[in-house]
Amino acid sequence: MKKVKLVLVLGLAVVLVAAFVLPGCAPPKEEVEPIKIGCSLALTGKYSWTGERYKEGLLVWQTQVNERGYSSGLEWCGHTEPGLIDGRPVEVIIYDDKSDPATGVKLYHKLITEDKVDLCFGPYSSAIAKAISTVVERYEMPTASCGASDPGIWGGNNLQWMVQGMQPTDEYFPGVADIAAKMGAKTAAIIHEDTAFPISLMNSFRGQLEAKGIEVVLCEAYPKGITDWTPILTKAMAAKPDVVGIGGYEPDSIGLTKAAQALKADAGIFVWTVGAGAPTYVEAVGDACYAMCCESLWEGILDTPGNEEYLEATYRIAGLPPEKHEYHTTFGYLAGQLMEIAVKEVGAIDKEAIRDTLFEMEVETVYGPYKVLPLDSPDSGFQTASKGLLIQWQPKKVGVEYPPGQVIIGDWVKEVIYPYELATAEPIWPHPGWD
Amino acid sequence: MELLIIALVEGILLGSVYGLGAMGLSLIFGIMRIINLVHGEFLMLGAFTCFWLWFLLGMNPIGATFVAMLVIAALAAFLYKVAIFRVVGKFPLLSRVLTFGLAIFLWNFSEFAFGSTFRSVNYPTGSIGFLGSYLSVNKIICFVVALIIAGVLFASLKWTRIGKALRAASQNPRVALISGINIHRIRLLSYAMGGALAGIAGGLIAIQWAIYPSIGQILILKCFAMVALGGLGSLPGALLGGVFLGIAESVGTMYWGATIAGVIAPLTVIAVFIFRPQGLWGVVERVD
Repeated sequence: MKKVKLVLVLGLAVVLVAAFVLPGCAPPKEEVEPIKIGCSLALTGKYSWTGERYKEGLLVWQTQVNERGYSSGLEWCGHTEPGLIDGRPVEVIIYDDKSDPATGVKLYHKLITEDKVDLCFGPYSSAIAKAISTVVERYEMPTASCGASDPGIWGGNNLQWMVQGMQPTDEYFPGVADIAAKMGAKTAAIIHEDTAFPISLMNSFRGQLEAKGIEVVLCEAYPKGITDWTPILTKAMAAKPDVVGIGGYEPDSIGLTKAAQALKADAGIFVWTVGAGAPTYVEAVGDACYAMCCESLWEGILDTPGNEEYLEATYRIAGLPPEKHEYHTTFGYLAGQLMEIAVKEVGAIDKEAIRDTLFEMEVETVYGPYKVLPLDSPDSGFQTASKGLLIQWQPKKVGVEYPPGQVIIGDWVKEVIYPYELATAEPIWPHPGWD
Repeated sequence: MELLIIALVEGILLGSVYGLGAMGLSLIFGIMRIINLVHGEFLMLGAFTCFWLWFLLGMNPIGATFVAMLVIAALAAFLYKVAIFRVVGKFPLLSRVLTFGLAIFLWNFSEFAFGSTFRSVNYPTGSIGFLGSYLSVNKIICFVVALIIAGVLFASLKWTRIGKALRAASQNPRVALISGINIHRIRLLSYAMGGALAGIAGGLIAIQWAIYPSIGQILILKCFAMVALGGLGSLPGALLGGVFLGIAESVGTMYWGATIAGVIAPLTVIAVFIFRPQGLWGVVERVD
C-alpha cells in the first residue's frame, strides 16, 4: 500500500514538474494592459475639419509610439521598446463631441468614470476645452490641451490638472500690426464670429493694433452659423480700413474671401484666422487666395527636433504629403508628445507626478518650445514659450527650388512673412486687387 | 441711403436662394401635410452634387446645379417610394420621426463619404459696380436662376394639368381622389419636386458659400423661419419669406450688427405666430 502511495506521489510530482518545465505548459502570459488616453474631438459639426486634423496627429503619434517606443525627435526620452513605458502600448480613445461643449462635458465624464482612462488630451476649440476643464479638474486628471488657445481658460483660474500646449491667442497674428505700422497703416476693421475663441482672438488682435497706433474703426461680431459675409464686409469696407481681419473658422475664411472678392475690397492687408492657411482653402477660393494672410502656429519648414521625420511619418501613416501639411495635425501630435515626455520622465502612470511634470518641464517638441506657468501661479498651465507665425499666399516663383515642408498648392506658395528671422518672403502690401 | 439700397439689393439676392429652398419645404407640406425634416439634407446633398460635378468633371457650376436638381429629385422620389409614403396621412409625429431619422442618416453618411473638409465651388465671374460698391455676378446669376425656377413652378402650377392636380390635392385630397386624380402619384411628384427645389437651391449655395456636411442643419432652421413667415403651404409666401429673411439679415447687419440681425427673423416668426398664425401670405384653414 505504501509502495502504491509512493508511486502516486512521485507520479504527481513528475506531472507537476513536467507541467511547469515543458514548453507550452507554462501559464499563459498576462496580456499587457494598454495605457488609455482619452479625449473628445469635434469630428462632426462646425469645427469638424480641424477636429479631424487633430485626430490625424494623435493617431500618427500613437502609431509611432506603439511601433518603436518614441515619437519623432524624442529619442532622448528613453524607453525605446514598443509601447509608451514598460512595453505597454498606447490606446487613444476618441469620441465625437459634435463641436458642442455640452456633449464634450458628457464625454469626458464617460471617459473618466466608465472607460477609466489613465490620462486625457484636451478637445478641439476653446469653448469645448473651457467646458471640460471643470470635469478634468474635478476628477484630477492630467490633461494636455493642445486645441485651445483662449487665455481665458487658464487666466486667473489656477487650473491644477490641465496645461496648454499650443500658443495662446495673444501669439496669433504676430507681426500684422508691426508690418501694417511700417507700411503706414492708420485704420483697421475687425469682424469676428461671436464665440469664445474668435472673441479672445479679437481682444488680442485689437490690443496689438492699438499698441502700434492703428485705430480700430470697426469691431463687430457675427453669429455662429452665418452663411453670407457680404453684408458685414460691406459695412467694414465702408469704413475704408487699411487692415481687415479676422473671421472665426474655416467656412468663415472661405466666405470672407469670396465676399471680399465680390466686393473688390480694397485694403493693405487681409488676415483671416483658422483655415486660410490650409490647402483646402486655396482649392475653395482659387486665385482669390492671392496675398491673403493667416496666422500659423507651425510650419513644416521649421527647424524643430524631429520635424522632417514627423513629416515623413504623417505621410506614411496618415497619407498626408509634406507639401499639403497643416498645423492643426501637429496639435494632436504635440498633445501626444507632451504626455509621452511626462510619462517617461515619471516612469509610471502616477497621475499626480505626471501632472507635476507637465507643469514643470521645459522641452522642445516637433511643434516648438513648451513651457507653462507653474501650479502656484494664478494663470497656472498657461503656455508661455511657443510663438506664432504669419503666413501669406504668394505666387509660385519660376525656377525657385522650395525646401521640403513648404506648402505649395498649384501656383500658390505658403510663405512665412513674420517673424522676420524665420521669414521665407517679403510681405505683399498693399493687397494687389482682384483683377 | 446708398448703403441701405446696397443692403436691400444684397438681401434680395441672398433671399432668393433662401426662398427657393423654402419653397420645396412648403410644397411638400402643402400637399402631403408632413414636415419634411430631411429637407436640410436635400439642400446639403444638392450643394455637394454640384460641387463634385464641378470638381471631378469640370462641369460648369450653373449647369451642375440643374443636374443636382435632377439627382436630388430622384433621391427624394426613391425615399418616398421606400419610406415616406408609409407615414403620409398618419399621426403627424410619425412623419417627423421618420424624416428626422433620415436626416440624421444622410448627414452622417455625408460626413463619412465626403469627409469634414469645407468645400466651395470656385466660380469667379467678377463683380459689377453698384452705387460705389460692387455686386457679385455670381449672386446675380443665382438670383436669375432662382427667379426662373420660381416662375416656371408658379406657371406650371397655374396652367398645366399636373399643376392643377397638385393644387387640387393640396386643397382637398379626398375630393381630388374622387375626381380621378391619382393622389399617390401626385404625392410622389410633389415630394420629388420639393427635393428638386432643394437640389437646385443647394447647388446655388455651393457656388456662393462654403459647404460642409452639417450645413443642412443650419439651412433647415432658416427654411422653417421662411415657411412660417410666408404661411405654411404657401409657395409665394415661402419665396417672399426668403426674401424677407435675406433683407432682415443684410439690412440688420448693416445698421444694428450681425448678431442682432440674426435674431430679427426668429422674433418676426414669433410675432407672426402671435398676430397672424397663418403667416404673412397664408390663408386661414377651416376645420369644418
